[in-house]
Amino acid sequence: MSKLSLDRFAVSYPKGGMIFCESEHGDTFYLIQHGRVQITKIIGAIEKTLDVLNPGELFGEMAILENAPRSASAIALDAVTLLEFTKQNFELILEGNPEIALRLMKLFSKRIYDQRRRFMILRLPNIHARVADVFLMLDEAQGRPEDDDKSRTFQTTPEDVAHWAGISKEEGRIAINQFAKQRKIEVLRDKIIVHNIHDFSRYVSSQRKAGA
Amino acid sequence: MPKVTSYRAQSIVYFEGDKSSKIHILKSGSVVLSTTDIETGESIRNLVQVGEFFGVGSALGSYPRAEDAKVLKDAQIVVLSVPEFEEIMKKNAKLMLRMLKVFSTQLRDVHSKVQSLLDIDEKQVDVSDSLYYCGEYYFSHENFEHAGYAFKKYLKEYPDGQRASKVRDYLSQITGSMEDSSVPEDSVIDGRSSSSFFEHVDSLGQDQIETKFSSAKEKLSSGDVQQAYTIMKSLVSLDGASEHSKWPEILLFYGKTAYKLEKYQDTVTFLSEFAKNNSTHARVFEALFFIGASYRHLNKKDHARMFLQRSLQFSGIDEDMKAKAKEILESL
Repeated sequence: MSKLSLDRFAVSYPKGGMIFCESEHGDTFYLIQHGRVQITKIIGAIEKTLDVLNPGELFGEMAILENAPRSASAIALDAVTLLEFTKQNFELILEGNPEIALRLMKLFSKRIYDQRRRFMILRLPNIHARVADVFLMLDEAQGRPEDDDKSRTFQTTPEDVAHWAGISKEEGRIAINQFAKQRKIEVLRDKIIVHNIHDFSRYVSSQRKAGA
Repeated sequence: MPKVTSYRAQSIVYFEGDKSSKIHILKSGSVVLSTTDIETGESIRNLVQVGEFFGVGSALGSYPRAEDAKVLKDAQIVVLSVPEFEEIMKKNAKLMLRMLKVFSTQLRDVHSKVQSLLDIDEKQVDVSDSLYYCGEYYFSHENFEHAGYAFKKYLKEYPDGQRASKVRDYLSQITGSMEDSSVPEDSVIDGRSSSSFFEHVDSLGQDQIETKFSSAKEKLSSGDVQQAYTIMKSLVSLDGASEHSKWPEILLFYGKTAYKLEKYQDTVTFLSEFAKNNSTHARVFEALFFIGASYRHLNKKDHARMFLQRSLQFSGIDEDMKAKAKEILESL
């Protein structure tokens, strides 16, 4: 399909415009053509920026899953033009644009892995094990350091950890404070240090066996 | 250039957990993929068809292999790098679309498994509520455009929703302030009315905690433990819950509800938090009792003994709790 015919699926938003709001139901997803899009989520009493996306990037793709509620908001950071995918035009666009299809395939692969990993976390029987496993997941994502030191530093917050663990912020805070009290982790302003990742790994696998 | 590699029967192409950016196509012979079902723990085996791709997802998403790939009969396998794979795919839109559908089915499948677990555990905060709070957040930050967006969506999705009338109120305030946009910004909401707005929001939050807490207590007394637990779970994630004057009672109640659902480790977690910060609370013996009783279920007899004995040291302890504590202590 030529570029011209793609134009009929393009939508524009002014700077600051809301593309979608967290928790609304949606069945469309987007490819950025021009401008940048800010992904935000209200966590606690703060609207937190999760990501800033550039032209060529896709977002809202979880909408292909039966009209699920949006997990975050998307706001136009500049005047933006987006390609809007719907159930109806989806195949038509992808058939003519293999690069887009390829990009979507990569994104789906990543999401499948993330969801599988989250499932493993949620199957754990208690909140401490879940929190520990979130750190293992983050460790897998950032890859082993060269020197294989057992200490790991994560750019994350207790709220994010709680979200991944499928527990409330308060539960997350309690579990993290208890780990900190046992000197297993250290919580700094914008990062969390796990002193011995292998320790967490042993703990999680013993809990996983106990839960099975 | 893609290269063809020969594999002997019984050899391994890759193991689950390996990291690699190679994609494979079975040219001849036989290969089996085995993986563990994340839900049942059973092992699943799938034969690769000649001409079929394998190891695609992990290579494209750069995550560890999710399965073992083992050769059953001597095989010839084409090994591709990601760019080589991309070149082939670009020329085969139909094939790619087919693969994309397989991926999206897998994603849908694993996503619904995750949701089913979240449902058992939290029943999640009502989505309509979240949309409402989103609007309220933007409104309180004077971002009327985004507030208006969220509120309008609310009315569209939940025209008869619990908060529909409040949402209409907000929307009429927003339209009012939008129409007045020629007047200086700070008079849109003058200082006084905006501060009373914040008081309103604060008291809303506090009321909500009270309301949820009492309804959880009602549920428990009517025997619906799961529902009580679910309400508590959403309560503790509300803003300001831990600053609420009833936070100690909330923790205590939550811990006890978790105990009834046999979530013993969580009981220990919540009640330890309670006991640590409220050592002079009138019901501290109750927390110690339930921590002790949980440890018994967790097979930590020494811990169980220690906490139960500590609970018995309180003169205020209820008679039947005292009896139960003694009974458990004897059984240890």
